[in-house]
Amino acid sequence: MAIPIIGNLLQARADQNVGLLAEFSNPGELVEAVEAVRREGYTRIDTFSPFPIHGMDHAMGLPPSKLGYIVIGGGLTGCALAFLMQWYMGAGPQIGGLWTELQSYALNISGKPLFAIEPSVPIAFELTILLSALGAVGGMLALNGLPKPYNPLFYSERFGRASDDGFFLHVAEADKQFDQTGTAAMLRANGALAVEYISHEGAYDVNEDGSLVQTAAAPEPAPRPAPAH
Amino acid sequence: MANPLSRLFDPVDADRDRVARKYQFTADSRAWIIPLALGVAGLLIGLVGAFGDHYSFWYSYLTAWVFCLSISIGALFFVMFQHVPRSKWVTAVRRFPEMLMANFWLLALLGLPIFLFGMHDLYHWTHAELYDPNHPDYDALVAGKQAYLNVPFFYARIVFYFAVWITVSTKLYRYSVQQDTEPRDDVGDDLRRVSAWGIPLVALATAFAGFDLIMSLDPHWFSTMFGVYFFAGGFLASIAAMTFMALAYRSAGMLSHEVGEEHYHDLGKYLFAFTVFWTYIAFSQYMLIWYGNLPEETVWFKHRLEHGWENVTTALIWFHFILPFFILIPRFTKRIVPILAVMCGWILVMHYIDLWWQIRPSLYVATHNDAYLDAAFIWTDFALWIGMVGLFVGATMWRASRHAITPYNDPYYAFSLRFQNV
Repeated sequence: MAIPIIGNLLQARADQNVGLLAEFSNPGELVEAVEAVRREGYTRIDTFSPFPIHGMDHAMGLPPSKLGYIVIGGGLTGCALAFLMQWYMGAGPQIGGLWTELQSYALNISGKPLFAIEPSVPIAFELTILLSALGAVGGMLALNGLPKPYNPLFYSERFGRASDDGFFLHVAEADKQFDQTGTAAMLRANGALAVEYISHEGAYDVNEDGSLVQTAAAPEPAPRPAPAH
Repeated sequence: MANPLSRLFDPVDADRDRVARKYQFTADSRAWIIPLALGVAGLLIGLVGAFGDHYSFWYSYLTAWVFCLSISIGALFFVMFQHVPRSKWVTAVRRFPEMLMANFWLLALLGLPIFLFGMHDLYHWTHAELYDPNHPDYDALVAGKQAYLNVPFFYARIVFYFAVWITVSTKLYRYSVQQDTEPRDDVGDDLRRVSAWGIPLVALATAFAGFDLIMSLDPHWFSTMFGVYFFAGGFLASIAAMTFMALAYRSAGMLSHEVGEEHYHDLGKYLFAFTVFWTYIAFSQYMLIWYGNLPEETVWFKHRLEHGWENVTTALIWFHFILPFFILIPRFTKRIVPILAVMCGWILVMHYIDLWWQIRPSLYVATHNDAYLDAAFIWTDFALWIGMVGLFVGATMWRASRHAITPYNDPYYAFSLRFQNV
């Protein structure tokens, strides 16, 4: 049952990358293009560059990251869990059943209390750090829409340069303002070197007159081997 | 030519007139007289206490003095920590800790009364009868420590500590301030080299100063971690002090284009980080002693968990850690001037209370006089604290009024003006 849910989630993530991909010559042009595109009213845009560009968050109108709240949530959960665990294992109520084994940690060590704050703090500290760190990594992945095993943008040959010397602006087809010909013309007017249309079927160069030329096609799915009898 | 005495309080001759106006201390050039006068008044009022309860007087005096000393040590560490990795962001605000760390001659002067007149009242281990096996007050534990705890060696150590602090801080101060009017390209190498050999020396001097000045008040007790604890509190307080200076300069209309919220944000991060560091060290010291459960170690905390001191202990947990921790976590509190300014003042007050909590309960241990059993903040504590801080602030402002208030000829200065927190 879980497999289709994950499949749908990944498909939805990939769908967001259907749209127009425009290449710009340098980071400054990219920032200016983003500002222009946002002035036109587009909201579902994304940018790709080989390195972080100062001022891009502001240009894209990104709100402050929500990651901090996820991290502090993880931290407080870890802290509370650690104290709860140590209290329960050392001096918790005798419930019996499945949980009895855990309570074998009620050990008398040189007459110290079965549960005390002092020795519990290092464990609480460690679990606070652990869940904060896991929250930070997991939250970062989730907020970035990762993992994304299939991304149609990779049909574009140009796009490989996003990790080298290419600066790209992507406008999603899901955007309310999206109009293949009009948006492509607008991107070109704002300095795009090349505009491509990317769909699940492949990558297409968008010419100045709006016509499409396919440059890459999605591979045919491999035929499934016939089930053995 | 400059008065040779003024060299003690400011190692570089005044060069204010050769500095562009936007880098000058533009508040009234005599403004330093106000805190200085307040300081003299505080010390004089506190001095009255010396004719009454001289034990209390010396404990108040030591607390106030160590408070200022720890801030200068923290500022010295801060400057060295920035030079060694060639940190760039700090350049625009680096003159604030530099002004604070140049106070060691003043502190040596203010500490002189302690070492000349206060030793007998402050440090119980100076009493000769503790070391005499035939005397009823003979104390085998203290006598066993005589090789370390004796007055000549104590004096030699104090002289060594101050020699280290003064040498390192004067070199760093002089290189940096002379760069303003006589720039040279390789100043960063000198600053970095002095910092690199300075850190271990200053660390050694600071840790042992913590042992000698505070820990030895209760000579039976020992904690190998106490030196780090002393450093942690002072470093945190020095960050609060330099951040407060940055905010105060801003509100007086100075450096309004140079120092901005990006610098406040970074200083605020330091403030947050070292609030946690102080707690980490303070708690580690407590937990190891709790777990070891040895009477000669736990007794120090026992004194601080009864007779009203337990309230101070609880207050330290809440106001030196939990509340500042949660207030300083969000991004916006470090970028809003009034909030950050309040937190700086708050941390400085809590640092004083932390030192007072370390020092004052030992008075009962030394005297066994029931009058000193209960936690009580007395008027000499207050008067001498105001007095000492007044002199400290006055000297710092006087120094600031003689030089540029930011190292504008530093090779990294331009970078520091335009950096941004991501």
